[in-house]
Amino acid sequence: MDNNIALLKKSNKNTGFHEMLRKIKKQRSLLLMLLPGVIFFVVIRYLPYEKIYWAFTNYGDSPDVKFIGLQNFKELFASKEFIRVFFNTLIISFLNLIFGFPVPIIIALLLNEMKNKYVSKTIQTIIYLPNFISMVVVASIWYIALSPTNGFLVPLFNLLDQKPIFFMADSRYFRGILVASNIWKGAGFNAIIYLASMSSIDPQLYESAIIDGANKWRQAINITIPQISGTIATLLLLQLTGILNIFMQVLIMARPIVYDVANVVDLYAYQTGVQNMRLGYGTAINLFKALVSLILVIIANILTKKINGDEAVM
Amino acid sequence: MVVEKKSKGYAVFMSFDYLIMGAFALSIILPMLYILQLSFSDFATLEFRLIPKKFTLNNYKFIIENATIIRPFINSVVITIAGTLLSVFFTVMMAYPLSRKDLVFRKFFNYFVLFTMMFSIGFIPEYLVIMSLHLVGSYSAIFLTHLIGTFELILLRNFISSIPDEIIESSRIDGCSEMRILFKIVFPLAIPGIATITLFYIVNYWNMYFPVVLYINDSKKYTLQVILRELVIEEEDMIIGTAQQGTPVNMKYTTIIASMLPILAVYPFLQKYFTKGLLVGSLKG
Repeated sequence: MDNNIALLKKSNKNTGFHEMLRKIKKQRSLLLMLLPGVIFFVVIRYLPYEKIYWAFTNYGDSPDVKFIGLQNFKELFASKEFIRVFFNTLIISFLNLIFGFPVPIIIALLLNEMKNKYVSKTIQTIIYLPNFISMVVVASIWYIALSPTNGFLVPLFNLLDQKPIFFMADSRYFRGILVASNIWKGAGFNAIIYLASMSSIDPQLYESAIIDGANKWRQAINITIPQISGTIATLLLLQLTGILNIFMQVLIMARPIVYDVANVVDLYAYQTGVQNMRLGYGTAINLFKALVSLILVIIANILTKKINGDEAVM
Repeated sequence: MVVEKKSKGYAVFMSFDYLIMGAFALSIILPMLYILQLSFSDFATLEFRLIPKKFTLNNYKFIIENATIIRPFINSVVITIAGTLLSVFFTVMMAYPLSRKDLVFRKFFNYFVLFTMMFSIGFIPEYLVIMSLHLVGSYSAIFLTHLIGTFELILLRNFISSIPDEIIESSRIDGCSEMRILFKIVFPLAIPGIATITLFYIVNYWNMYFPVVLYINDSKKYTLQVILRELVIEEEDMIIGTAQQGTPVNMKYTTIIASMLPILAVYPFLQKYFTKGLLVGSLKG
C-alpha cells in the first residue's frame, strides 16, 4: 500500500487527468446507473431553456412563423391585462406573506408549549392532513363550506334575513379566500420545520430565563424566536423569491367572474399561450417571469451574504 | 430541573393555546364531516345540517354503477400506480450513485440537480419540448415530465448516504457488481427512505391536476381531480340519468370523498415516516 502511494507521488505526469479517467473507468457502472436520470434532467429540465428562442417569434399568431424580436415583450408591457395580472400576483403574494407567513411560526410556538402530548399529537395529525389532499379537494371543500345554498354561513344569513353572499364568486372576498385557504392547507405542515428547529434549542436557556422570572411571552420573544431566526430567515427568503409563482391555487379555485382580482401571471400565460395557442407570446411571458425570479434570487443571495457572511441559498 | 411558576397568566396562556389549536383542528375536521354527511344525503333534502335528513346510499351506488365517475377514478388509479413505480425505480437508480462520496464529478452532479430546484423556465417551454417529442395527448407526457422529483431524489440520496460505507466497500472488495450492491445490500437498508418517497409519489400522482389539463385533451382520459373540479367548481351538470328509484342524485359530495380516500388510506403511513424525523433530518442535510 505504501509503495503504491510512493509510486503515485513520484509519477506526476498528467496525474490529475489520468486519475480522472481511471476513476471514470472504475466507476463506470455507477455512472451508467446515473445515466437515465441525467437524461431525464437534461430533457425535461434543461432542454426547455432552448425553447426560449420562440419568445422572439410569432409562433401561434399566424401560420407564417418568423422572428419578430422584442415585439412580444412590447405587446406584453403595453397590455392592460398583463399589468393588472402582474399586480394581482404581487398583491396576493404580499397578502400571503403578511398573513400567511407568521401562522406556521405561531402554530409551532403553541404546539411546542402543549404539555399534554396526547392532545398535541392528535391536533398535529389533524392539521397536517390538508397538506396532503389535493388542491382540487381543498377548493371543493371551501366551495361547499362557503356555498350560498348549503354553506356554513347560510343559517346566519337566514337569521339576519339577508340573501347569502356567494363568496367564491365575489371579487371583494376572493383574495381573502385565497389567502385563508392557503393557510388552512399548508400552515399546519409548514409548522413542522419550525418545530424541528425549536427542538434543538438548549433547555438551559429557558431554565435560566425562568429563574430570572420571565413569563411565556418573554421566553418566546427573547429566546425561541431569536434561536430559530435562521430558519425563519431562510423560509422568508424562499417565500420572497417565489413571489411571482402563485398559480395552481388560482387555476383551480378561480372562475372567470373573479379574474379581475385573481388572474395571475402564470394563469395569463396559460390562457394566452396554451388555450389560445399563442405559444410564442406565452414563452415570452414565461421568460419574463424567469428573469424576474433570477433577479430576485440574486438579490436574495447578496442580502444573505451581507447578513451572514456566507452563502445560504445557493 | 426548574419548575415553571404556575401563575394565573400561565393558566390563561395555556387555555388560550388549547383553544386556538383546537379551533384550527376543528376548522379542518368539521367541513370534512359535513361533506361526508352530505354524501349520504338524499338529493332533495340538501341543506345545512349535522346529520342527513334522509340517509341514503344511493349517491354511492350511483357513482359506482355510472361511468361518469368510475372512469376518471380508474384513470387516476392507473396513472398513480404506473407513475409511482416508474418514479421510484428511476429515483433509486439515480440516488444511489449520487450518495457515493467518492463519485467522480459528484459536485457537478449535485449542483446539476439542485439548480433545477431553484430555477425553472416555465411550463410553456416544457410543453414545447413535449410537443416536439409528439407526446401531447398521451399519458406518457405526464410520466415523462414527472419521472424524478428533485425533492424526492435529494431526500433519498441523503438517506442512502447515511448507510455505513463499510458494508458497501466490503461488498465491492468481494467483487460484487454495483447493480448487485444496489439491489441486495442498499435496497433492503434503504427501505424507510424508499417507502417515504413512494408515499410522496403516490400523493403527487393522485393529486395531479394541471399536468393532466395541460397535456391531455381527450375527456375520456381525464383523471378524477379534473372531473371533480368540473363537477364542484364549474358546477357542470353532469347528472346523466337518475338513480333507480327515479330520484336525482348528487355526485359532488361522493366524488369529493372518493378523491380523498386514497390519501386518507396512506396518511397514517406518511405520518409515521415524517414524524420520525426522517423527512426533517433529510431536509436539514
